[in-house]
Amino acid sequence: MAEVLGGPGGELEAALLEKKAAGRKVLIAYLTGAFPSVEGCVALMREVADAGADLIELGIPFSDPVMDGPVIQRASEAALQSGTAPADVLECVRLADVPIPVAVMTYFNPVFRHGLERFASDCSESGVGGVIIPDLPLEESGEWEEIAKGVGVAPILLAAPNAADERLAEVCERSRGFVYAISLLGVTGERDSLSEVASAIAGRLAPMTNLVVALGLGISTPEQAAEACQVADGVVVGSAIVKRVLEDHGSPAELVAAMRAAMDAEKDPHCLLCRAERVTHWFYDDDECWIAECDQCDTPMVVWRSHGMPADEVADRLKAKLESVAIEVYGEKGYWFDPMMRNIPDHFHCHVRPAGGFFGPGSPLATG
Amino acid sequence: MSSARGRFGSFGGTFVPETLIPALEELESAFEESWADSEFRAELDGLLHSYAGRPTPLTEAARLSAELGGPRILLKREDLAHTGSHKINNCLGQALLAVRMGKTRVIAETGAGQHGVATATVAALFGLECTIYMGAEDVARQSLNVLRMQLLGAEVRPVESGSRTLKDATNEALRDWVATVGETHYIIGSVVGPHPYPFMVRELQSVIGCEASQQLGDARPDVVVACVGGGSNAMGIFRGFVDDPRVRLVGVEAAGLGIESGRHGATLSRGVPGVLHGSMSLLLQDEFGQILEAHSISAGLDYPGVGPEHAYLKESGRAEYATATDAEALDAVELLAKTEGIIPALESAHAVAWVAREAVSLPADSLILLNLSGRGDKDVQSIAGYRGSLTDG
Repeated sequence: MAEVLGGPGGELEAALLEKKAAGRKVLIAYLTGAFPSVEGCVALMREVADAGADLIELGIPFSDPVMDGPVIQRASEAALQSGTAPADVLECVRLADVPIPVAVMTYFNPVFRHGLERFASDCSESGVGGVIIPDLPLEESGEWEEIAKGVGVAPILLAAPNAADERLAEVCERSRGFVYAISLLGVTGERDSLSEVASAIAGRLAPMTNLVVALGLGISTPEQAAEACQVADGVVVGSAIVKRVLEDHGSPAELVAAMRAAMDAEKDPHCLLCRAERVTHWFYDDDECWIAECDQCDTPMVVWRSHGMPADEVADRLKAKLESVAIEVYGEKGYWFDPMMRNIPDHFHCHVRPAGGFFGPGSPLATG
Repeated sequence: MSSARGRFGSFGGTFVPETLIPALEELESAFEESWADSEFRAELDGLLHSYAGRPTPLTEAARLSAELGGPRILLKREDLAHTGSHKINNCLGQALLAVRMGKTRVIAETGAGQHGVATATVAALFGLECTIYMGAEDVARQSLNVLRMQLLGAEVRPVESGSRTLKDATNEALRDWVATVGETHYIIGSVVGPHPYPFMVRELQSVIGCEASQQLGDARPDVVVACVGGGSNAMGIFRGFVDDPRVRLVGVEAAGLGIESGRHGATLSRGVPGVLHGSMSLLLQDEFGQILEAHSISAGLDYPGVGPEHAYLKESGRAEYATATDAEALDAVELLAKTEGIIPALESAHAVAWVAREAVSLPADSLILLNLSGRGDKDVQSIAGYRGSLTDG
C-alpha cells in the first residue's frame, strides 16, 4: 500500500478516489496557464469548475513543448510572448480558488531551472495538488517524485500504450493522484475518433491500480469522452477546450458541460434508443439529443442521449428543438406533441404528429 | 568515459515522453548488438569505403600555414565524403540499424541541410521512406540543399513554429516520432538527444578521429580543432585523441554577432545546465527555463543546445571551447578558398577562423589537425548575399 500523501496532493487523490467509489466518471479539463491573461485564466478556471470538471490541469507554458500539437503550441507561444512566468500560473491557482483540485502540467526544463525543491514547495503553497511532466519518464523521475511527495504534491505519471506490462505496473506503483493513460501514439490535439489503443491501455491499467485511470490525448467530443469512460475512470480534455479559448468562439464551459452530461449519461446496451443507430432519416443531432423519423410511425421524434428521464427544463429544451423540426415538416400549427412513451417507457423521447392524425405523411397508415 | 544509463558525468540521460521509451530501448540493444557484430561492422565499413569514399584524406595546408605565419596545419577532409560532409558517416550506420530493426521509414531534423541530404541519401540507398523537418528560415537560406533532398526522393517539411530553425525542426521531428514510432526510425544528426543517441552518434563518427590518427602514423597533433553546433564532427575527431592527454582538444562555437550582443550560438561558453530534446546539457535559456533563440550565420551551428558529452568534456577540463563570430567565419571561408583552393562550409569555417586567430600564438613547431567537416557549395549563395550586404553597407 502506498504511503499517505498529505497536502493538496493528498486532497487531490482523495477527491478523485471518492468520485471513483461513487461511480462518477472523472472529467479533467486542461487550460493553458495565465492565458489569455491571469484574470482571463482565473475566470475560465471558475467557469470550467462550475460546468462540471472534477479537476483542472493548468499548463505552464514551455518554449519547446514536444508532446503538444498545434493548438496547445499556439496557446503556449502566445502566453510566453505576453511574458508568462511559472509564478503567474501558480498565481492563477491561488486567485481562482476553485472548489476542485488543480494540477499543473509542464516540461522538465522549467521545473529544473526553478529548482526541484522550490518548484514543489511553490506548487504546494499555491494549492497545486499534482504535477504532470511528460518528458520525465520513469528513468529520470525518481528524485522528483520523492521531492514532490515530501511537500504533499502528487507526481502524476504517464502510462504509454506501447509500454510492456512490467513498466505499466511500475507507473501505477509510483504514480500518485491519478494515472494518466496516453490514449494514442502521438501528441495532443483533436482527433476524429477515439483511437483503438485507448480502450486497450485503459483496460490494461485498470487491474494494476486503485487510483483513477484517466485517458488523455485526442479526446475532444462528448461522444469520445463517453466512449472512453466505458473502460477508463475518466478523461483529460485539452486541445478542444484551448481551441475555443484561442479562437474565441464557443464557450469552453459549454463543451465541458456537454462532456459532463455525456459522461454521466446512463446507457443501457439493450435499449434501442441508447444505441442511437441511424436507421431512418435524422433531422438533427447535438450533444444532448437527436431528432429522427420514428421507424414505427414515420413522425419526427426527439430522443435524449441519456437513458432515463431528464429534468423538466431539459425536457422543455428538447421539445423546443423538436418544434423547429415540426414546423419544417408540418408547417406552423400543423402538428401536436405526443409525449406518450409507448414501446420504450424508460428512455425519454417525444413525437410530433400531424394535426388531427397519428402517423406521419410517409406512413401507409397515414390519414388524410 | 561514462555512458552508464546514458550519462556523461551529470549530463545526458533520457528525458523523453514514455511513448518513446520502447523505441529507445530497442535502438540501444540493436546498436550494442550490431556494434559488437563483426558482420555489421564489415558491412558499414564496406559502405563507408565504396559508397561514401572513405578514408577521407589528410591535406597539408601549406599555403595557409605560410599565410598565417604559424605552425603546420593538416586538414581532415570530411568535405570530400559523399554528400559533402561528415554527416554521411552517421547516416549510413543508422540506416543499417533501421533496416535491422525492420523500420520502413526514417525521419530527420536538419539545420544547414547537410544532415537532411545525408539522410535522404541513405534513405534512397536503402529504399526507405524519408521525411525531413527543416526550419522555415533554414529552408529559405539553404534552398540548394532543399532541392537536393527533394531530388533524392525525400519529403521536406518546413517548420513554422518557434524560431523556425534547427531547434524547432527537432521538436517537430520528435512529434512525428511519437506518433509513428512503430515503423519509423529517427536519424538524429548529432551527438544530442536522449540516450543512446549521443553515445551512438559519437561511435559512428569516431571513424573520423580513428582514421586521422592512423593517417598521422607516428606524428601526434598538438591541437585538434573542430566546430561545434550539436558537436558530432568534433566528437568524431576528438575520439581519436581524447585518451592522449598531450593533445589539446578545441571546439569552436558560433559567436554570431558577438557574444556580448546576445545573438550567438555559444552554448558551451554561455549556456547553463538544462534539458532540451531528451538530454541534460548546457543550454541557452532564460531565468524561467525557456529556451532562447540561437543565432549564427551558419544554420548548422544555430542551435541553443549541445551534445551532453561536450558539456562533460568542458566540465572535466579535457576539452576547451572557443568561439568565432559570423564575420570571422566569412573571412575564414575566403582565406581557405584563396590559400588552399578549398571552400569550406560556413560551419567548418568557424574552426578555420579559430586557427587563423590563434595560429601565431602557438609554438612554431606545433601540428594543428583541423576537421574540415563540410564543403561550402551550399553556402555560396548566402555568402554572396552577406558579402553584398557588407559591401553595400
